[in-house]
Amino acid sequence: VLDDQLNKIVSDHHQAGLSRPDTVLLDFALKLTRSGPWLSGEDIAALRDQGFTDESILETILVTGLTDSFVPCLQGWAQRPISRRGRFPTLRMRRCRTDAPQVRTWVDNPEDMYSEAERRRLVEHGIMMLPAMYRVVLVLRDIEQLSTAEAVVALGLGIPALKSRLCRARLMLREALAPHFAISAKRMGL
Amino acid sequence: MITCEEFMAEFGNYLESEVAAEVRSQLESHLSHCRTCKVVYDSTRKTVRFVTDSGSFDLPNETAKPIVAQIMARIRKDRES
Repeated sequence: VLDDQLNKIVSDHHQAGLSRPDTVLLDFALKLTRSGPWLSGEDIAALRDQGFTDESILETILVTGLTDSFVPCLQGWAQRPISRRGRFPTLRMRRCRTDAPQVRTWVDNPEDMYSEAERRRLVEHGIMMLPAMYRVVLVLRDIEQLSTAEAVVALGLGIPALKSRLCRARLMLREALAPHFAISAKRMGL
Repeated sequence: MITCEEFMAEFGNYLESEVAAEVRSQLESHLSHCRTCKVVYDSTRKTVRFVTDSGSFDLPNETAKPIVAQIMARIRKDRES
C-alpha cells in the first residue's frame, strides 16, 4: 500500500488520496522547487488556512530548498499579519549554505585517514542523515549514476530543482563528513 | 570580481563542469583568493569522489531505498526496451 501511494505521490500527488492539508503542502513545495524563486502572501495564506503554523511553514521552505541564511528574514515576515492579497518580499533560492565561519581545510589525502570499510561506513551514515528529498537525488545521481535527464524524469522535477537539490545534498554530506576529514580532525570512534 | 554568494550560486554547475568558459574563469579567479570557497569546493569534490568511487552502499531499506529501487527498476526496463 505504501509503495503504491509513493508511486502516486511521485507521479501526481493530487491522485494519491492525501488529506487536503497534505495536498496543499505538496502544492506549495512543488511551487517552490519548480516555479522559480518567488513566494507570495497567497502561497503562505493557503497553508495557514489549512492549519499550518508559521514554524512548520518555515520548516517546509527550508527542507524544500531554501537555505538557512534566509531564516531570520522569513521569521521576520512570519511575525507580520499577512493579508491574502499581500505579497511577501521576493527572495531568491539559488544560494547554497557555506557555513563560512566553520569551514576547515580537509587533509590532502582523506582516503589515508580511514580504511575503505571505515570510510564507507562514514559516508553511509552521512547519506542516511540527509533529508529524504535530498538523499534520493544524491543516490540516483552519484551512486546509481543516472544522468540529469534520467533523474529529472524519474523524480518528476525540473532540471533547476534537481541540480539545486543535488548541490545541497553534496554540501550537506560534506558538512557531515568534515569533522572526520578536516586537518585538525582526529580519528573518531567508529 | 564575483562575490562568495555569486560563486555559490554557480557552485553546483561548476562541480558538474557545466559552466561557460567565461564563467569558469570568473569562478576560478574567485577561488584563487577566497580561502573559504576554495575549502568548500575542494572538500565537496572529495566528498563526491568518496560517493562515486565507492560504487555501492548498504543503505537500510526503510530510507530512500524503496523509491530508488522502484525508479531504477523502471529505468532499467526502459533501457532494455
